[in-house]
Amino acid sequence: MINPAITLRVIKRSRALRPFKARLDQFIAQRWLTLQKLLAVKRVSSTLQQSKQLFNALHKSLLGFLSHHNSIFPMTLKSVFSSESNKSKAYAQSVDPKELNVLRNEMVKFATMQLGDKDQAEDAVQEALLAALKNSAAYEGRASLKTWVFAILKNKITDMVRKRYRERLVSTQLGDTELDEQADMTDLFNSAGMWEPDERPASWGNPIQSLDDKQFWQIFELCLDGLPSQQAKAFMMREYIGLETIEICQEMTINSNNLHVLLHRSRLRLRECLENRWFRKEASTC
Amino acid sequence: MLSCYEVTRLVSALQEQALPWNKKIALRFHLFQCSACHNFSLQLPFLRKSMHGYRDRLDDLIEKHEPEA
Repeated sequence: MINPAITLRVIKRSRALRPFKARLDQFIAQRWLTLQKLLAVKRVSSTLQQSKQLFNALHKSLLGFLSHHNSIFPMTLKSVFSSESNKSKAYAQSVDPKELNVLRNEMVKFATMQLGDKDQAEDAVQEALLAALKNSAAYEGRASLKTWVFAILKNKITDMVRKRYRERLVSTQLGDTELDEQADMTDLFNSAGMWEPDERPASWGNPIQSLDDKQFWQIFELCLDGLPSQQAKAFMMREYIGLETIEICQEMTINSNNLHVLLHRSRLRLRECLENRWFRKEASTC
Repeated sequence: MLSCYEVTRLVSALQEQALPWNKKIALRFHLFQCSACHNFSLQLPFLRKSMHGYRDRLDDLIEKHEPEA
């Protein structure tokens, strides 16, 4: 049954983890997408509630900023920090501009990593800095400046990813196309059901060796992330949590034929991704 | 005769359930002749194995974030 689902473990330990909140926070930010997918497969609503509470609690102090959610301020750092407000002037003066630039670059790097999109990352950083400026009264002492600004930034990113995920969920509700057996497979197979010449699975040699390679796991995670949400959901429930097909069918309210289609498809996609991004590359460099 | 597409479906289904004998034989016959599908049939068990490895890695990560008691 659902035992070691990762979110659940994070939640259970969250109380003990409180002194390590910053690290936990970072961990969750890094694993956000994976966690989201797992959250989607949580069947017990009460634990879902708990996990939501956890995520909210982690960013509770900054939730007020969410109201500015949709506004985008196309200001450069310079104009932000040379703004007329006395408060911001005082704040800007107390911080070395060089230090700020370094900080900003780090933030952009961090946000780009999380969002995978430079423009959105810039927006997030801009908004985070602006929010920091607005609430600069709450900022105490230089030692925590980085932590503090990053906390705001993480909140912003979380919000963006959450929104994106919600949009994706809506747009990929089990539609006809995703359950239609042949649809979406035309790039892999020709009309007679034969492999397209450049899609034929190659031999992976001895793939077990890859499991010790750090880079392999990055690619693996990337490929998992690339699966459409319904496929990912079915695949994670089957292979990560290890549920039986009957349980998954009940959970997703689909019949077993639908499930087999989803699993078949996710496996085709995942192996394609791994072959293109890992196994083929490995072979060509040797 | 099974097409490659049908074969991949059967191979995927094998991860969940046993197949009737006639399908099993048809599958064997195809895999014997078709290297692409043969490779595919070896890759699915590996996917499962790596998924378990992935889970263990994530567990380790959480383990490391436990406070020293």
